[in-house]
Amino acid sequence: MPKLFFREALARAMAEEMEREPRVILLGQDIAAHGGSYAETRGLFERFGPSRVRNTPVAEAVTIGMAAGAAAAGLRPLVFITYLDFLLLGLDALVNYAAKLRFKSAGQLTAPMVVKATAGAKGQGPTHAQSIESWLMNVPGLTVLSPSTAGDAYGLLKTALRAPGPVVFIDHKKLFPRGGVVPDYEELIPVGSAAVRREGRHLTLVAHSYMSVLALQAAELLSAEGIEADVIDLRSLWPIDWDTLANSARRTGHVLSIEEGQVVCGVGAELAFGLRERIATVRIARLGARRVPVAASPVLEAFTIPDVPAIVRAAHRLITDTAAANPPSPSEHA
Amino acid sequence: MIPMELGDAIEVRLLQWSKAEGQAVGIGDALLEFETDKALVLVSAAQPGTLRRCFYGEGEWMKPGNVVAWLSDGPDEPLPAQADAPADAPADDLLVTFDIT
Amino acid sequence: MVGATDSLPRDAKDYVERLRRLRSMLRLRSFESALMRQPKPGFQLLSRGEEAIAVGICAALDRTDPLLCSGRSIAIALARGVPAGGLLAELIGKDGGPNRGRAGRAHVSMPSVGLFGAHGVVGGNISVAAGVALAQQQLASTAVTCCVFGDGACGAGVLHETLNIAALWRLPLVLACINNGYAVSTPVRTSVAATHLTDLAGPFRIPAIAVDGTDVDAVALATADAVANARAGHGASFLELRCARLATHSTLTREERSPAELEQLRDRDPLVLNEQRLRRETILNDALWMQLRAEVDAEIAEAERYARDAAWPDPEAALLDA
Repeated sequence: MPKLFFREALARAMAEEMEREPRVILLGQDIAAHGGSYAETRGLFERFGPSRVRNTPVAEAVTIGMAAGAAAAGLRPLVFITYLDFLLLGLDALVNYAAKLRFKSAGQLTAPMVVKATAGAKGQGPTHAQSIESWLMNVPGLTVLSPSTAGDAYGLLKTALRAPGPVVFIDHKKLFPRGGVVPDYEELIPVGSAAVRREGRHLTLVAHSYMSVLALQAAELLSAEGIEADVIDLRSLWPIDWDTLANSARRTGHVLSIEEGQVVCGVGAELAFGLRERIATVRIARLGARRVPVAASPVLEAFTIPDVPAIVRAAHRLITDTAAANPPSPSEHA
Repeated sequence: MIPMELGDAIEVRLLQWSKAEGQAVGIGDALLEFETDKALVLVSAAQPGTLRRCFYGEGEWMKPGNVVAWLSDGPDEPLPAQADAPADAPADDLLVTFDIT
Repeated sequence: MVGATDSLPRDAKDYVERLRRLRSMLRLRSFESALMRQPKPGFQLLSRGEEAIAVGICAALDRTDPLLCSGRSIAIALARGVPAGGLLAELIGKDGGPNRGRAGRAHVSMPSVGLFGAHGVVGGNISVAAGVALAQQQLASTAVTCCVFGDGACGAGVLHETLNIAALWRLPLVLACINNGYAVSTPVRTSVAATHLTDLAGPFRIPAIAVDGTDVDAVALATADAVANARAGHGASFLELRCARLATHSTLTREERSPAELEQLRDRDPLVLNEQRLRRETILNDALWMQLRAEVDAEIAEAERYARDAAWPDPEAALLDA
């Protein structure tokens, strides 16, 4: 099977869905001849033309509002938000209109739209670095997807573009320099499906997006010490694949949630409660960014977000700290 | 050797060879072109020699640190016994041009 | 216009339509009175004073032209064709209306009659309407999208973003701003720096016109022009429809205008003004007026019965369609 850059996997998914469904249109900054902020729409403007690949001004509020209205009126728009931080400028139409449309209309209208936003800290400072996808998990009516591989980006984006309601598709800056295997046949990954990347009996590492990449690296280091980890890549932040996660947690009894975002009301917080509701005895810890914004300096940035050594330390604490009544403290790098 | 100036490239895809094994290489001759996620990179020779061995084919993926090819000053220089072994002297006189795409 | 009258001589057609418009405004006014007579009317934004705007806009739209509006939706919804009984049920939270109690006045929608929907966030429907217009353009439909909002939304960034994109993309969109002079307690003079609201469209080179919103025929004419313009591919228009808000902002907001100002409002009651105009033109007399009122009373009484007999929603229905 071919290996593609992450952006090529996205472009392929979009091209296939646009070919298949004329109602799919793209809206975003610099997505036409320029080929996208991450070169992820390269070739699409030439192939599908200016009415289906539309450059927008820097105006997230109207762009997302238009996508919501266009979706409600029969199109399938995909909106590009270059930095997840800027999704905040367009949250009203996404949360107050699109997510609630099917409900408030009692099923007469829906908004099948996709908002694709790129998260993650990569040397660009506090407002170009956030991973705030957990905010979106608690909005009824929103589906939230987050791939960590090129193959999953392809399969999940195709699914998103066929979904019946609004989907937020969150990728990560650090995934783009990577290549990955993408099937050369059409394959869709369903919503609510996590992937088991690695199997091990001692603990469960659960993560999404770029942290899944780091979790696998940490698992290799742990394995060298004789600690074998299950690595679960969530892929779908809402709905969560509880079955896959709970099956792993039952076997290992120890779960470490890893996210690049804040732990307060983060993904790990939801996983902890959800698992405890399903499994009587399981030890759960969460690891995420320190409770500060991400600084511009790479030295400061590296100190702020989880890295492989931090994951390994957190895994050690989770496994060895059996005397403690409560799970180990979250969001530490010490 | 792929130059370290590539920054955050984790892996790259070789696009095409401009010379074949055994071919002579002159100053400024293009050797190979590869692409990162963000740029096309053209590698050319800065001094004459012979391209002796290519370790990656067109369409294949490489990582920074991989040995891509062996160049020697003369066509009959003895080669290391082990394929893909690190060369005695990593080339530091290649011309590299970027085209940010 | 109304197909059934096409075969009548022109004057008669005008007469029929103009009586229909008056009757429709009366219906809107009576409906809101009936709403306020309900044991628990709830938190409502009344359209009292805006009836000519609602009727005039709807008179100029085809049924397939999507109409969006703000949270002050009652007159618009009724004029557009939402059945009175169903709307009353929806407003008081019962099942039996178009949105089964989920929407209320802030979000009522009935696309089958052309009401694409109300939205309760001030200005929130404006960018949505641009998207609906984009879809019409993309699907090669001749439908024109109309979005009604108030002067209170004119300070919101999304209005200006929408004017910008509507101009850039020549969207088939009519932006209809009801200027009743107030956003809750804030006079428009202190919330919008432009001299006239129509000035807001100028920088984007979108044609804008101010209209007496108490004159139902003037509203219908201006809207029809804007719609024709958009249908012909000439892009968006901005209408400023001036009227008075005859009631308080909401049923839970106190009146802050002075007695003198309130006294002057009586001269801007569209129902009174249009009734008087038709009488002057001898299209309306006492007998006809009483007949119209009787018809409306009967219809509204039926609506009240419908809403009274409608069931409360099953609580579990709160989980559907989410």
